[in-house]
Order: sequence, then structure tokens, then C-alpha cells
Amino acid sequence: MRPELENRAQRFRDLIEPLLNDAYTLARFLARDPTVAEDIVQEASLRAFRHVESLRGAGEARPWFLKIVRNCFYAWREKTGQMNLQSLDAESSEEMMRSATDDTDDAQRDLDPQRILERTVKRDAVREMIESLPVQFREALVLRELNDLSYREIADLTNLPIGTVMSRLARARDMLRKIWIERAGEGALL
Amino acid sequence: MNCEELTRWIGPLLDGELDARNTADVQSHLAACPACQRRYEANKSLTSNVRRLDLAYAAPASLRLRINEALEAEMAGGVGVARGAGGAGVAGVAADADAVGIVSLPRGPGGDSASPPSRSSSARARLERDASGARRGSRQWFLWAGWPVAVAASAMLATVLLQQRSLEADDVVAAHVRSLLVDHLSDVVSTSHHTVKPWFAGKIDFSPPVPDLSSLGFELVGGRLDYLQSQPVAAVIYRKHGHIINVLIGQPGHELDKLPSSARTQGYSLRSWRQGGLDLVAVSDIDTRELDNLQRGYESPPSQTPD
Repeated sequence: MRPELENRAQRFRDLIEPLLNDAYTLARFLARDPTVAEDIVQEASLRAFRHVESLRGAGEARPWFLKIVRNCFYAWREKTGQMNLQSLDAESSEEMMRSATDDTDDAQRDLDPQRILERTVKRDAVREMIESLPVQFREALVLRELNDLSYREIADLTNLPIGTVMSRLARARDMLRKIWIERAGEGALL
Repeated sequence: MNCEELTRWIGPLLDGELDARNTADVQSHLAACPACQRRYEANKSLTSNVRRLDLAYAAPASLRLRINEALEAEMAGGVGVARGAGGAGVAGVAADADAVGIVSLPRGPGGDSASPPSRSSSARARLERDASGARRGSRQWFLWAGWPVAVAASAMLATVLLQQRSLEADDVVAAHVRSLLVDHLSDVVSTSHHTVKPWFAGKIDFSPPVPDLSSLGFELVGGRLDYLQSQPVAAVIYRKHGHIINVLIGQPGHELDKLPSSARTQGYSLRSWRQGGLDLVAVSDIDTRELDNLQRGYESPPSQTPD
């Protein structure tokens, strides 16, 4: 065994392998397809393996690897000509943002998410709701709420100013709450 | 701070991203503004519910297996490691099995240690076949197993192939890995050898030794029936320092009688020996000295052990 390969494999096992759930979660929410998500994470793992020497410490492994996952997702998206998805996302994004803003007060007055949730907790349903968010918003939400990254880490990972991360996250939460209330109101959550 | 500004800071406040001064500002506004307070509560409720739902996915076993295979190929081909010279790398990638197994196999009648040519050539033939079909082999294991085991199994097979270990060791390791299956570890769960030993009666046509090795630090976990090359073996499971140990025990006549008395493959060690007309093999990632201890314990059980 070449020492450098052994070392690389060891580092991969120590630093990256424990992050596969995180990586798959991100890929799954981004790609919205289990098979594609596996492809993405596999590709990301291979890349991570090749460059794992450049990873300094365990502390940065999570954002480092998730960034690779994200890059792989966008590469896949581009390669498979997901441009229509892109525009779909943009469209629904605007629509949602408009209605989210318009109806927020109404919704808040009538239905508190906590109470809705207590009646209708369904993990899959909420996952579906998050998947219905435009990509830039579900990305922010997943990185924050599920991958547990800090604003700074998300900003570095997405190459966005931290202010943009903040506003995207806020938008994402507004949208999610709105969908949540809508669907729960229609009984769709049960 | 007005309401519009405050809305902007609700998220950061919830996410613990606000510094102390801004936190104080936001909180004093919230205290004075019921509308903003409602907005804040709604956000807080959403976030905490999302988190409580635990929406993250677990990486599927198939994915871990695929990654392992991809890295195996990467290490074998892409980086120029000749198969056969290989080593740890791939196996190291995903195997997290903290396990020790003792596999006790029946040796062929009279066949103590030397490996007949016919046997080894057929082993080699199969090894080569398996090497070319490594993926298939891995998948087979995968079908057997929950993901941690599948991953470990795949890793072990990869290692075995890379190192061109003997087929026997391959099988033993595979049996060991399979035994790590959460649901497969024990058919009978007991810390008492008085329970485990009789359990085998009627299930296997010999009586496997089940010594009480607790004085050596090996805690009995249970027993199970296993199969190696379609022949039944008894598996006795111990644990030490969090490592699971399987002892596989088989009767003479079993095909797998050519194991080296000691072997090591990427984090797993094998010890095989014959006692009382039975063949035993231990496989483990535990310190090899512990395997030696275990073997000694088997051969000369501590006095309180009637077995």
C-alpha cells in the first residue's frame, strides 16, 4: 500500500465518511431525486477523496465536503439541461415571495404553525414542502436547518455575501411557513 | 429600531447569529411590539418544528457501497495501484466495524495446516473470478445486510481482493462481517454459556465449545448458526472493549480447513486453530494480542468453565 494512498483513505474515513448523511441530505433536497442524489454524493466523494489532503482539519470538513456536493449538484443540473427547472424555480420563487409577503399577516392571525404542526406532523409532507421551494431558497434552508451550518459557512460555501444568505434564509422560512399553513389548512398534511 | 428592520433580524436572532448589542435591541423592540412579537414567535415555531421533525436523510446502503466501489476503482486503477499489491485504502474508507470475530471451522480430516494444491488452485481460480466480479460479490453481501454491515462487507471484500488473500480468509472475513448485522449477530442472546451451548444442540451436529472467558475480559454475547460455503458452522459471539468477537466453529470435513493459523487483513485479524476435533477461526479488528488471549482462553478455559 502506498503510504500516501493509505493516508488519504484514512483521512477520508475519518473526516468525510461521517458526513455522508449530511451530504446525502443536501443532495437529496437539492436534486429532489434519490437516485440523482446518490450520483451526486458519489461523485462528490470521489472528488473529496482526491483532494482530501487539502482539508486542514475536522472542523472545516463539513462545509468543505458540502461545498463539493453542492458543486456536483450544479454541475449535474447544468449537464442535464435543467434550465427549464431554473426558470420554473425563478418563476415560482417570485410568485411565492409575492404571496408570502401578501398573506403573511392573515395567515399568522389564523394559524400558528405550532398548532398546525401538532395536528399534522408528517415528516415526508414537510420534506416535500421544502423541496417545492426554489432551489436557492431550499438550499439556504437545508444548509442552515439540516446541515446546521453557520451563516458564515453558508456564505463561504455559496460564494454569497452574508447579507444575501440572511435574506434568502428569511425568504425560505416565509415561504415554507406559508406553504405549511396552506397545506395544513387544506388538510394536505394529514 | 423599526418593525421593518426588526424583521430582518428575527432569523439571525433565532439562529444565534446576533451579537449581544443587537440581540438586546431586538429584544427590547419585541417586548414593546406585539406584531413583531407574533412574527418572531411564528418564525421560532417554524424553525423549532422543522428541527424537531428531523428531516435529514440517512445515506442509503447502496450509496455507501457505490462510494466504496468507486474509491476501490480509484485506488486500483486511477492511482496506479496494481491489484494484488493493494492494501488498506479501500477497506479503510468505509469500514467502521469495531468487531472481532472468531470463526471456528472444521478442518478436513487429517488436514491440519498444509494446503493441498488442488484446493489452492481452485481457490485462486475463484479468487480471480471474484476479483473481476468484485462488484457483484459486494452487491451480494449488500443484499444480506443492513448498511453498516454492507459497507463493511464490501470494504472487506475489496481488501481481500486487493491483497489476494486466500479464498478461505475471504469467506471467513465475510462471515465475520455478516455477523455484524444487527439482526444477525445472535440467534440466541445470552451472557451465560450454560444457555448458549445447549442452544446449538439439535441445530448443528456437534457441540461447539462455549467457554466462559469473562475472567479474560471477553463477555459472552450469544450464539448463532452461520454458513460457510454452504456448510453450517456454529458462531459464538464475544465482546471486549466494545469490539464484537465471533468464534465460528465447524466440524472436520468442512471445506475450509486450509486457513493459515494467523492472518491479517486490513484491520481484521484471523486466528485459526483446531481443538477437540473441531476447527475454529477468529476474525477481528481488535488488537491481535487479544485474539491470542482469546485463543488461549479457548484452548485452556479458565477453571470455572465446565466447557
